[in-house]
Amino acid sequence: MAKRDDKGMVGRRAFLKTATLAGAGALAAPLTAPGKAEAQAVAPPARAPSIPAAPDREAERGTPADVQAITQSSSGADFMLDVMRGLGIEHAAAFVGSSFRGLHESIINYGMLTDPELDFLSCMHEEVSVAMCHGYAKIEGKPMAAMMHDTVGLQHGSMAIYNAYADRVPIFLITPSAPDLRTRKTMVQFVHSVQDGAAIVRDFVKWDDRPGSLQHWAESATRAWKYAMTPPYGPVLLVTSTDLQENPIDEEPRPVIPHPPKIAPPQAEDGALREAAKMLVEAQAPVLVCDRLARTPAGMQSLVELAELLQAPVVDASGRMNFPWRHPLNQTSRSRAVISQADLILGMEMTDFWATTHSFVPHTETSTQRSVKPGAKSISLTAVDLNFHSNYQDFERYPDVDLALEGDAEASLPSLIAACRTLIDKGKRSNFESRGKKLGDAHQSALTDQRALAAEGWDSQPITTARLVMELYNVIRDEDWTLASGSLFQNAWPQKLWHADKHHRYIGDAGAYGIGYTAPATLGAALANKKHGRLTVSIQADGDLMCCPSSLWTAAHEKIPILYIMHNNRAWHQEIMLLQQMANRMQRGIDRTHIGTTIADPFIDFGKMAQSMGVYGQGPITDPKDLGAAIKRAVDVVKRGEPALIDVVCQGR
Amino acid sequence: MRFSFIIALSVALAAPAFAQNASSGDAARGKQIYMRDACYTCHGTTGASTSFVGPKLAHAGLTAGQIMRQLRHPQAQMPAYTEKVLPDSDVADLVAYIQTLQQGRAPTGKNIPLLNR
Repeated sequence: MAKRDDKGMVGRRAFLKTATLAGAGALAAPLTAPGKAEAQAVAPPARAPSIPAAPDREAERGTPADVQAITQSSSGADFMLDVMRGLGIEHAAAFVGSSFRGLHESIINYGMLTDPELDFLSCMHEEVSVAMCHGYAKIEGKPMAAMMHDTVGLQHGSMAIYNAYADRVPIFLITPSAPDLRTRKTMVQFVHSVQDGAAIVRDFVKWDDRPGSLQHWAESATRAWKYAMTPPYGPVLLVTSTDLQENPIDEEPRPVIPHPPKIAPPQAEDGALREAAKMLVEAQAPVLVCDRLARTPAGMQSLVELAELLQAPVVDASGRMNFPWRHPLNQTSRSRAVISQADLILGMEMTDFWATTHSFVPHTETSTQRSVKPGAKSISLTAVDLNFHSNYQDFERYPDVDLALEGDAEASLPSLIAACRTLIDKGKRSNFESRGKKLGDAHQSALTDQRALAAEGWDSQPITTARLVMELYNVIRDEDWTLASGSLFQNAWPQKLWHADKHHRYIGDAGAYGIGYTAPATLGAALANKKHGRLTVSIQADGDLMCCPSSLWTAAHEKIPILYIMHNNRAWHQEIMLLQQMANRMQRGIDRTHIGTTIADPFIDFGKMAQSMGVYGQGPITDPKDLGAAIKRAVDVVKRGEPALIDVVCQGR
Repeated sequence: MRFSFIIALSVALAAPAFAQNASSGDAARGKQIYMRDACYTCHGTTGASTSFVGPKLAHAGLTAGQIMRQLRHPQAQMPAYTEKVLPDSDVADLVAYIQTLQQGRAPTGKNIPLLNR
């Protein structure tokens, strides 16, 4: 409900209401005004004498009691903004929407002009806003905000929210609501209104609330931040009343802002960690497997410490930068070999631990087989078990483990390492060193094999993915770089061939593999990297960019330095493969699987597309000999603080 | 068990005859089929297998008989390419092309500076 301020009153709401109704009436009249006979036929029943007709009632009332202030000196949105600043939120990304105009106005006229600055990032799709938050959080280790218009904006943003949820990433989400129908002035506001605004995403946010007062908003925002930042991390949502945003602060007592706490992540129970340590130290062939282990640089350091202490192989599913790519104990390229010989597997923050130890029997629908030795034991260490929803099935197959350690892996590793140390004597250390030596040799041998594989078709056209990846690395390797895009569709060549030993070198992929993640999420990572002076590169799939092409405009508009290097293979080749399998089964022809799966007729000129949105664009590059120089030119642009894109025509696979 | 044995036997008997056909295949056309019928999606455009799915074909020492057997009676995840979807003449061309991928020495990458950083 609108409130009055002491700065003078004009019936703005009454004006808008009158104008709206008059307009609606003018439009509606020709369509609905009945003829005389019809009017008689549909005349309403006589009113009871005690209820005056509407015009008379208005006349009796005089000036309505809820006349809106023409000016005001405070707003609830300013208070909300102070709450967000107190939580360390520095950016809010949004596709403009009138339902959060209170917050929008507060950010541009208060948040961006006073310290600590909280700025507004202009986006053209909510999927871009949310995915930017996703990439930002994985670099910066804290959430930024995304504001989404009520109903339709949240619907747009929902896939990106699911990606973040599945990727265990904290995001501070806001969507407005106008719960009181009297405040909705237009037809559009009704179709955008919803009883339970969070319902559409509740299955994949960690927590949500719809505060009824500013004090409630402050407490829920702080609670939301705390839940988002407690492992497993996740997105949180506040459904925020338009009236609370727009009206003056008149709550008594005055709302106060809680202090955000220092968060101690949940650690697995000490006794269970000691049991795990005993199993690891006694094992003849332990394997350390990880996916989203390293939330921070400390997580990577701890994993290196544990692996070196045990001289145990590490297999990295690369949900984060968990382990140095060229470390001798990194056996990711040999994962099948080391896992098939393991007698103990420790899985840390795994998405699909089951797939580490099982595979499907070829040419069967559901039959599976264990891919580890009989009698091999397994231990899981994860915080994900502490917060799970049931509807969306990102929990994967059940990993039939022998010991389940319920706690955050990064927080638990120091205690596990300490417990291992107490159990390692001189004899064991000598055995471990011998094991480590063999693993180091195997790592080097695997590297040689991968280089040979990368050399196949080195000079061919279209350009091989390996050539693309190595030309890029050659230009950036002496910089402080981040590869912000996932490498799944580049055959994980960076992990196989590049040196990387810092946590910010790589941030994993989309989480739920919702296409349209890469362009905006890597832009969010670049936003976070900007203040650190790092060079952000994104190997950008062509199909993914076409889901959110406006990311390029945001990059130019917000002056975010990033190098997009297009992995332009002009089709969804994985889908061709899967469609081909189906066509083979049906035996009705296998030469039409390009329909619906290719990006051809016409090809897209991504260089021109970038240029059209104010981004430096080159290409298409088709000759591998031209690629190195093109990348150098683009990196020079990025170093000046601008975005750049190079379109590289690549082989499908 | 008995059924599998019969299949294996028939494939083994068929292979030599096919190998003969393969030698007369058109490798250039086989390359077109390799791309058109999406062999590359699992085995890589250059046969280097960069998709985590199919094995490497280039410099893998494959014989015509082995390629034929795998096409018609595949092991692992590969779908079956029956005569209905891939006539013998196409198979011959395809095999001829895949055999060209076996020629020469496999690259080591040692002579490529970018691969040795």
